[in-house]
Amino acid sequence: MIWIDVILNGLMLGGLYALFGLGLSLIFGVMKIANIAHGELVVLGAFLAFAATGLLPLPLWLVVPLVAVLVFALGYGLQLGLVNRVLGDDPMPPLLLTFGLSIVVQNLLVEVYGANNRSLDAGWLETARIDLGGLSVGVLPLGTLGLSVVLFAALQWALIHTAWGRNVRATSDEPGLVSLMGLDRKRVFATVMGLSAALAALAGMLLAMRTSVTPFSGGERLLIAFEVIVIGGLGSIWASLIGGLVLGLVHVLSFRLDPSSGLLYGHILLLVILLIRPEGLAGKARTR
Amino acid sequence: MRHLDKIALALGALLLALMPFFAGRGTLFLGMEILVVIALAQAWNLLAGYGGLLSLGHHGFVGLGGYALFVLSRDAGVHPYLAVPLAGVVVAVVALILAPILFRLREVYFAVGMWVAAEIIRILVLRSDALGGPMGLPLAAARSLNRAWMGPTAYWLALALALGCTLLVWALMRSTFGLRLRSLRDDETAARSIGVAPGRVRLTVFVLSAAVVGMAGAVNFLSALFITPVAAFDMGWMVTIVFVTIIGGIGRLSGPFLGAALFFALRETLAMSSSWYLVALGAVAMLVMLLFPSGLAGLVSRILASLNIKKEVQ
Repeated sequence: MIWIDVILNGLMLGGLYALFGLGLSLIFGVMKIANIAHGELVVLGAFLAFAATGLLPLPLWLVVPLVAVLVFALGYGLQLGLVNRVLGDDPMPPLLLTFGLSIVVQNLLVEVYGANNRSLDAGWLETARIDLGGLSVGVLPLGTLGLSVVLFAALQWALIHTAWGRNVRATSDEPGLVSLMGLDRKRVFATVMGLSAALAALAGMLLAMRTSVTPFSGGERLLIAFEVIVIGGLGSIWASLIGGLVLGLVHVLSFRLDPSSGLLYGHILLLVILLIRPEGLAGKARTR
Repeated sequence: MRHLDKIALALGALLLALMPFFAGRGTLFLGMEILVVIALAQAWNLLAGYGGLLSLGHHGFVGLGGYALFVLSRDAGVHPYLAVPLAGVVVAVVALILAPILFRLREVYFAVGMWVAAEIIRILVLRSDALGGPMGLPLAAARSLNRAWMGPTAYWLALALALGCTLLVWALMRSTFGLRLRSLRDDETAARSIGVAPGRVRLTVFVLSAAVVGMAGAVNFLSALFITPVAAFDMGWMVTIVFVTIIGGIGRLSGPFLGAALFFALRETLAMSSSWYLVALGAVAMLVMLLFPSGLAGLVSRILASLNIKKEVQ
């Protein structure tokens, strides 16, 4: 019975991890670049929510979408104002630029909010549990997993069935050709970065409801997001969901068997996957 | 003119080597810090700037080099100064082991994969009782060393590393090896088609870079006399290396020198908290990436070129 509990907790944590990875996977796939500041966007989402709940008399269910929209705008502006300028054949300049950005954001958060632990007060949601056939399950983790699956499905659907999704796929496949069709590549990239940032911020708020975060939490979130993508495999959005669930399982399992290990076994799993199955558990493309 | 340049460089190196005889303790320590950063940045520059292999996990090699020094001098009875090059060998071996796994990743994936590798090393050291766990280790062999010469020796080791690594990069880039390396960076398909073996060339610079970084880490913690996982595996190492190299000029031999000069000039003169300092430095690095990607080195050579043109016109 305890193992069913572990597996369930792992899958629910994995839902959150998958959400860390979803935004990063999107920009990897479309722009072939990495956003090193992805983890800082996760943390920024949480801190903006702290600020909003502290300053405005708004309930959390209103703050969460507000912050997501705000961070979408930030991501949109980031792409238009900065990243688009260094985009080219070489993936290194965007990587270095976003590395600089991650350090700037991290230290601005330290200056503004201090280096203390903070968590979002989700009220009754934090402790609410429901009974699933004899198992008592937290509503918040279960809801996070459900939301994550819904968002994966929604993004997949939007990429295939909407005009925006068609533009994104076309830009990803033939970045040089789409401008001949009158499509502004830079605007398409900006919407993708905005969406990626909003997903990161949303994941950050969900994270802050279940545990505490500091301005320095970004690095580890980036590594988790990255491992989700590589373990799951490139070339498919659903692969990242699988990667997230597997990584969540490994973390909960290792926490039970070896409580002081931190993220160690997740990191080792990445190396093992690279050795025996470089294309990832469910991926189509190789990472090289 | 070429001869004059060489003489000026040799005189400069001599002057730096003589510094322990006229500089105070504080100045000497600062000098060692600067030289360690130059060595680290040059080693990273070799891999990222010339080899196109960008790593975000070099802080793992810094810490590993430091711990290798402490363990070799404690358990194997190696003299601490001799342990510095041996620490380089230890880190090179670890790099050799990691390479076959991490080289399955390319470009941005390799960069973050290296970060993961550094995290694994950090957590393993943190959990090792033999290495003192989170408390760290003192340099047990320090008792047998002559205290008066410790500062100068650490300084000279750092100087040898910074200049040696720069000479190494200079010599490599003049050889056919350097040509193969840059051809891979610029166009891998074309390079392969004329018979360049990517794996072996990349492995060589990766291991060389790791060895230099390991030795620089060893020198740094030799003079600190104490090592903890927090200090050894600080992401701050990586931040310093990246910012110094970008601002100075990535893929340029003089880049790490110019970047380190600016980095320490700002650190010593600006009275601001470390987080504001990092905000400012990060903003400068981003501006460099956006406005003049060749960094200070590119800027200097452009100014020199325009001065030469003016001279010729006169």
